[in-house]
Amino acid sequence: MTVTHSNRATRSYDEADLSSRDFWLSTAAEREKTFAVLRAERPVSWHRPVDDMLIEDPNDQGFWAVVRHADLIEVTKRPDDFLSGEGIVMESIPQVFLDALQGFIAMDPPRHTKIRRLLSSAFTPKQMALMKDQIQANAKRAVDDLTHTGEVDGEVDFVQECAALLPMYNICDMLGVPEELRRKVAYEAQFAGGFKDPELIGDQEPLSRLLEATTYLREVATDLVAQRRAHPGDDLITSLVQAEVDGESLSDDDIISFFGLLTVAGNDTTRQSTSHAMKALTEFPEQRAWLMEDFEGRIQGAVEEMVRWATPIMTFRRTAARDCELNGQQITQGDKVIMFYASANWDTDVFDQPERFDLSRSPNPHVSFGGGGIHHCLGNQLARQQLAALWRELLQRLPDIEVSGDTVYGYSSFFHTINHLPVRFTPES
Amino acid sequence: MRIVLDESKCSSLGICESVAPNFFEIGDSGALNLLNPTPPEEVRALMEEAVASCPTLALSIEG
Repeated sequence: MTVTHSNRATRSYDEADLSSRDFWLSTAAEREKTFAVLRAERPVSWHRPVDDMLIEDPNDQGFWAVVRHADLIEVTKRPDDFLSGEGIVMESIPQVFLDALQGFIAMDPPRHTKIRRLLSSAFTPKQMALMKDQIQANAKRAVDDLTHTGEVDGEVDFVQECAALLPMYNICDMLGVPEELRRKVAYEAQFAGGFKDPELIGDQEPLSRLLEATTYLREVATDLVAQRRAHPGDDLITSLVQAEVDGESLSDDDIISFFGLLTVAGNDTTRQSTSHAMKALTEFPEQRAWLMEDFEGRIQGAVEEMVRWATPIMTFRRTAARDCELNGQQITQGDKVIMFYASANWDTDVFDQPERFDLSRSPNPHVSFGGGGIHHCLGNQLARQQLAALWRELLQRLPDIEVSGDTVYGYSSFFHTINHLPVRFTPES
Repeated sequence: MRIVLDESKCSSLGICESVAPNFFEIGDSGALNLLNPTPPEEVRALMEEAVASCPTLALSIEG
């Protein structure tokens, strides 16, 4: 939007801090203290722009924070009022990245509807059931990787040697990414959510590093699309180049952009859920014991609680399409509206004792896959299956695996990142 | 009882299918097919669960 609304420029900022680097570098438990106050007293509040923006945006005067479960669901279900097409993260992002990397997640109807339907056919329950054996085999492979590394020095980084590998195998299998490119693809995909993280970025300039990552992912995707047009395979890229709805097919750009979305959203979410769950299973041993008493009967519900607990994506942004109201607040056209998923997942109006990691929690209407609505996580079934498959493999083969050192968190206001999580276990005999 | 699908709202997530696979199916084209739009009364609870599971409110029950 190019119109500057004067009331946005003069609106006063809430005293609670959701914008500083320190806030996002602290822990989920620390952030929850702030969310709890806002949920109770000021459920829709106006805040200054977040620190460490990618670009200077003179029109960015701040954002509305939506922290209650019910309000988050309402924003999600009003896609005519709250748009995704101007960006989905807190930071202002140049349009070129939105187009290149975010695919249909950063689109609005009617274009979103058409593209989403074409892609949905690859993620249906039936398709996921067909992939079940492959997902279990990839879980076995990820645990093999972990145990082989563990034989060398006893303590292993769970994130790098297990949690990051499982989604990488599955997403790359689906997309048909050749084995030799997979680690690099998964590595480059991290910059989309990790452009603030000093460990990842080092002394590079975030915007140019993000551009480099984007360019790499687009090159891989461009090659894949060309190859599958010439030599169809049985992967998702082949289905997408062949897909047609009402006589219309997807453009190469649509497919390449979707490739970017899937490598980012597919790798960095399940990795975080798995890592946070590993940590929680160590901290709540009685929950782990309860799960193991009847693993097959309990894992499905347990996965829901793991995903609530992890809240792998902490924020999504919308932009107000027009002046409208939200829980008593007057929102102005062009305002950024940020939904805080960790806060909604801790809302005591909905969750009894949310600070308890309770694998038997039922019902568990967490919003980690979204609050419903047209952008609800396309990969939710894939994520659920992957988590169940991994814990089936891991907890049965390495029954004493536990976190053995300090958790190293990343710096992001988007992904709830764990960069390193040391674990130890008795090697298989 | 009749299941009504609003195609303009459906985004083919298939959550209804995961709840009641004998009644809902995402076809190869990505469109949702109602396998039995007039299910028998004894599955009302299941149909209500499937309809309630839809994040985009594309399903409803008439009658």
